Amino acid sequence: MDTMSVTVRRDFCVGNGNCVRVAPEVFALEGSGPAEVLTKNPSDDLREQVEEAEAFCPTDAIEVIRL
Amino acid sequence: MLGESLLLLDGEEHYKRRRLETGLFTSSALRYYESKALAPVIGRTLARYLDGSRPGEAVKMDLVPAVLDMLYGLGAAVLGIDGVDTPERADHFKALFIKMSDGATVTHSANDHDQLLREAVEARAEFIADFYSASLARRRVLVARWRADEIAKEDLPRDLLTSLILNEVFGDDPYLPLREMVLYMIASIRTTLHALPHVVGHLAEWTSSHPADEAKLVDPTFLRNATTEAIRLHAGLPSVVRIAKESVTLASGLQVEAGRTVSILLDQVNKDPSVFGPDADTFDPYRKTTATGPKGRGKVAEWGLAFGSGAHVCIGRRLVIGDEQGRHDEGTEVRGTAFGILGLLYAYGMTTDPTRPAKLDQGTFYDAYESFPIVLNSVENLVSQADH
Repeated sequence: MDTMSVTVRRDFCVGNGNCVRVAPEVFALEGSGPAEVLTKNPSDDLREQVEEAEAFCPTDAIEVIRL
Repeated sequence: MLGESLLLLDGEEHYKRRRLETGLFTSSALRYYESKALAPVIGRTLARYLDGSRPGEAVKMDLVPAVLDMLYGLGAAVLGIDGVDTPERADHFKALFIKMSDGATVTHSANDHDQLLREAVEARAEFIADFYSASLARRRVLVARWRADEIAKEDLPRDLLTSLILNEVFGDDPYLPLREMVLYMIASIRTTLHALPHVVGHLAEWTSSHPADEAKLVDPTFLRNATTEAIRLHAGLPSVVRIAKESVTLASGLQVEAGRTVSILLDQVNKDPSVFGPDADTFDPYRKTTATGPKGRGKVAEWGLAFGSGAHVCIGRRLVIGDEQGRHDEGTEVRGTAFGILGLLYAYGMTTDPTRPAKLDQGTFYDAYESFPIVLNSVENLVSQADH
């Protein structure tokens, strides 16, 4: 069962790359971005990493909806 | 007083420390502070102001010291300092932190710098003896028990001090956590304490000309928008200073050579009509911004640059203003300290006090309030809340 839904607000993202370093299974970045979501509904064992990436993003570009 | 704290680190060192401390500001951590720390602190603080008042009578109080007490109480929980649980202990904790903060910001003081630093060092010694040592010892025991599988990770406190112990940040410098604490306390209090009286003042004027919006004073979306708008107009600092790591030409054509110090004047950039509209210097809780940086990226926040930008953007901004409503499911959203305090005060019928005008702090050229008298008119609700 999906427990969360992850999106990147492309107009907010500045390609800082923190999300990729924190949660590489979920986010990817090519060049200056914007970041891409590799796994829109990551498994629950990635919750801590996804929450950290959300909080770490300097432009509030990551949206995590708890399902 | 702030050496090697997060504020002054850069590059990889900054990344590592920031990542470690980001754990204090995740959604689940923020919801934890809101329910376990902020709500009780607000209740305790309001109960102090109720002392001596009679049921049925409106309660007069000053928003500035009340908010200051609430923020110091919340700050103690986020930092990981125990024993700030009685009015006397809370006052002692606040007095020591004010002295340490004055020492940390001595560069901007017009008072005797040597004396301020002397008092800050004395306050630090007293703080270690009266609060810090016991808080540190308790957390070290808990972390050791967790490492021995005697307790679950969920049983560890969620605070800065525990994070620093877990990640073994101390090294050979026993004062590093203290400097980090002073930084967090200054940063968390300055913006919120500065902004909240402005929010209330602006909303009093706004609702007098838009009476239909009075009903929205307890609405989370309206109150968040009003708060971010007031923070845009009254940022906690007049400017932020950066040093250019490499030469750069800005979109405006301005060239900045590597090594140059650049001061960003927040009052000017946050009232830029090309970004916030022709009425950028006025308060509008319905303002929307659509401006972005180059190539349509890096959308300008509603609060402008009040929380900074980039790698050093304020780590605690969600703690202050919460998330846009609707971004998370009902019950899991982060509401923010500003809504936590103002929403409750408005629920108790907060108005400005017509008999006592607010006073700006004459000790600074900045627009900080020294006193902002308010009246709580629905005191019955307040009495029953405090009784519980």
